[in-house]
Amino acid sequence: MRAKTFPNAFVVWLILVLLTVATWVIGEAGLGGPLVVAVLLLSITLKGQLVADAFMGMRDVSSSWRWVVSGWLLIVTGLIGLAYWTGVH
Amino acid sequence: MNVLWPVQLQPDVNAIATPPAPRRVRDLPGDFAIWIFIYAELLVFGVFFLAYAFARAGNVELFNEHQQFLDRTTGAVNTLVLITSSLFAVRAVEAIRRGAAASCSRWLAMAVMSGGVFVVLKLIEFADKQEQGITLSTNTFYMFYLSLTFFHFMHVLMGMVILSAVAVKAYRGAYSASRHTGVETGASYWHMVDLVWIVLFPLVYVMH
Repeated sequence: MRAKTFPNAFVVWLILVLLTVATWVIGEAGLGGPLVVAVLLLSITLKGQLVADAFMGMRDVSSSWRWVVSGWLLIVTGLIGLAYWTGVH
Repeated sequence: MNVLWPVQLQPDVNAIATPPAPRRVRDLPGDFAIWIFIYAELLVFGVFFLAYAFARAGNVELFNEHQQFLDRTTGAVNTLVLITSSLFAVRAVEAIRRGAAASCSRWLAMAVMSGGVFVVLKLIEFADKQEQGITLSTNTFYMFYLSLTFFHFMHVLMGMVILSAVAVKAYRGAYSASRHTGVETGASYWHMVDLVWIVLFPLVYVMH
């Protein structure tokens, strides 16, 4: 069952903490460029979806409402990626 | 007097007659109106983020040069503070669904206090920028940095007001296991504030 296989809120919090620390390390190391931007955008998408599903409770609602948040994440991160790619070329 | 069924052994007829309705899969948590508000807010922040990203595409050197002077450690700590406060809000909703109103109130109070930590750190950051003479007019990067973070800051304040009001109501026993829409509504708004910062921090403080 979906509710049983989805990680609980504490595990999600732990994943969010680790991804945040990883983002901070990347920032402090001064890393940049297309690959780093792609990794950061993937991290944003994963974190955002975890917050939506586990914290906001979106995994229990109908897929159309859930897809509004998921779609927002995908469109925003996708277009940010496009903007950064435009800046490089 | 019912001699066949001692008081403690009598079946709860009401519970059998009216079992708790199973939560419908399509229901959004909390008041539906807050979700219209949340989706509208996400749209506004999304446009703001894209405006930042595409403005940067035309001024890459300027954005990269000034981004390095931002305090990434405070930004990361504030991310940890917000995701932790979101966890507290989750615990508050779980508590009220069990009917534990006092526990719900305590979790909400902890979420509000975490929001307070965010506010203090952000005010220190804003004061530091003000001391350096940085304003909205300094350059395009700082215009976006200040307006985006201040806009989000106002949402944190609003979220704290909402959660405080819900915490007080929970403490006074206004919510129960079967009637707690207000708690879910407040928590949903608070998670939205968290979700927006999760995009904002890497975008403005780290990505180049």
